[in-house]
Amino acid sequence: MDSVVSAEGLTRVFRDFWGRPRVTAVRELSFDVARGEVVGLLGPNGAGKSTTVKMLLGLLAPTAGRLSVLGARPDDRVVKARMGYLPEESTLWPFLTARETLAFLGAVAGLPREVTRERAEQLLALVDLLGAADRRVGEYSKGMARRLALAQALLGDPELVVLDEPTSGLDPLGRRDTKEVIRALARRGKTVLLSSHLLGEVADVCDRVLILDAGRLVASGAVRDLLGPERDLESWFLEVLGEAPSRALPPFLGGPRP
Amino acid sequence: MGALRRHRLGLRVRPAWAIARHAARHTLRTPAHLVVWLGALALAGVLPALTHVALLEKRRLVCDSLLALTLTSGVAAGMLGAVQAVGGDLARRSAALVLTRPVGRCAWLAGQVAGVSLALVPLWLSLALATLWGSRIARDPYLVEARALAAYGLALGLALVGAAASARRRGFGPAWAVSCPLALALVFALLAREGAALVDWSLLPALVAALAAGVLACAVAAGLALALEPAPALLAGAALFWLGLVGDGLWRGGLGWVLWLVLPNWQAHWAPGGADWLWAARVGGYSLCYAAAVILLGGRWLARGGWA
Repeated sequence: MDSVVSAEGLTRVFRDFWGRPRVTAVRELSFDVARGEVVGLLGPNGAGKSTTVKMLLGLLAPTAGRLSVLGARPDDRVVKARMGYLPEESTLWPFLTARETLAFLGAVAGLPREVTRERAEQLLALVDLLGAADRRVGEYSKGMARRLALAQALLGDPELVVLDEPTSGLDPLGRRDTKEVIRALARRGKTVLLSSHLLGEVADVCDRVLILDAGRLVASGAVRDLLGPERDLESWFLEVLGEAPSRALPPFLGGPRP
Repeated sequence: MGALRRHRLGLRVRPAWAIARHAARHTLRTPAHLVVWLGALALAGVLPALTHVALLEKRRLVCDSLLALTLTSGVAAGMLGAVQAVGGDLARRSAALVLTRPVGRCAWLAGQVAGVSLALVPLWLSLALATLWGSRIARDPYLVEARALAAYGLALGLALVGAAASARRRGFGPAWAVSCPLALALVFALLAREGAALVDWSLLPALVAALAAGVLACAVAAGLALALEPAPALLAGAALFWLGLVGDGLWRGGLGWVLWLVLPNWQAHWAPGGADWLWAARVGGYSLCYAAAVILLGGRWLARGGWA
């Protein structure tokens, strides 16, 4: 198997100012992602998904374990040039226009100006922002900013695309378009790692899912094997993590009195 | 081999230059920067008249007060700009968008410091002109130089254009890029034809040292913004400025020597009555070395990953 991502015993411990261990976000995590796969990274809040993504992107160094992305360390410049990243939150510069944002990120990635300009126009058309390309990002709605964030992730024509909650804040049309873009990337042989809480969407686009809980890999499997007439991804997810007892409303909202 | 090395160097320098341009554009569009610029310019117009004519002070005090204004406003604008650029990028997590591209952490920080420093140049140019003009007024308070006054008005107008552009959320780049050299050329042409002898040219190296103080302030504030929220970073920057100013009188003994060496030395940038070019070059070198040290330490701090 041609692995694009290979993690072995990956651990990340966050420490306080004095160097004392504060929290272990990821423990002994091992997994592989093959070229051309669309893999969903799932888990409850605080499961270690974002920390794992940040280690893959070279933003955080693992405390222990081995991590290889596109055959090298994730903080290698050449590797970084072959990756695209859509962060969870809208992290764009509010004082730049969409065109300026893409021009800046293209320059930072070392793309020639003409290539950046040409790709920016095509990507703005793809995410339906050509009409608002010269407006400041600070004036954009959340959905528009999200679409621009997706465009910047694809600017470098990356081999590995890491998408953190790609459909968050998008309307149904935007969600449909984003899923279509992910499928198109997969058809072109790109590898996509997608972190999301929207399990229906993960089931729509992913080949395989990994479930993390408390920093550990607790389950993984091919989506087509997991889904059946009686079972969707959500029921499998809850099965794996153990269904929490249903919470009663507090008394002032009409719940039972103790 | 040489070509490959140049190519690799280009791959490192180009992103840093893009970050620097971006940081400069951000700073020039920031209302706080324009407020400091406008305030300093307005004060620069009033100060010579107030000190010399109203308070009947001596010529040297007029020049020194303008020099102090150039230095402090450069330091203030530099600290504000660096905290907004670095702290803002970290707070809104846009730093991650840049650092997931083929850019080193030190290159990112160096680009930010260089960019904010570049944004200080128009502010410094206009205040330097005002200071030189002030030295003419100080020489002869009864000399009314209409054309120098027009140049001062032009510089002030330039800052107003910037403020208006910022308020209307338009770019300010082309305005200052065209107007500043124009203002500079105009004023120096006027000074060369008549009255250049009245200008205290020894102020020019001292003004360059004041610009170096702004660069130093950018680096110090950028380093602080890596670890602190914007308001505490600015407070810590102000405290370091004060300590660096009074440090010579405070530090005693071995620990004092270490503190004197480690803390940014602003006194070295302060040359009342003017200075020579060798001194200005030394001060510039000190600022650049100090900035490089802060950038290297900042890169190590970023590698810890707490910000991510």
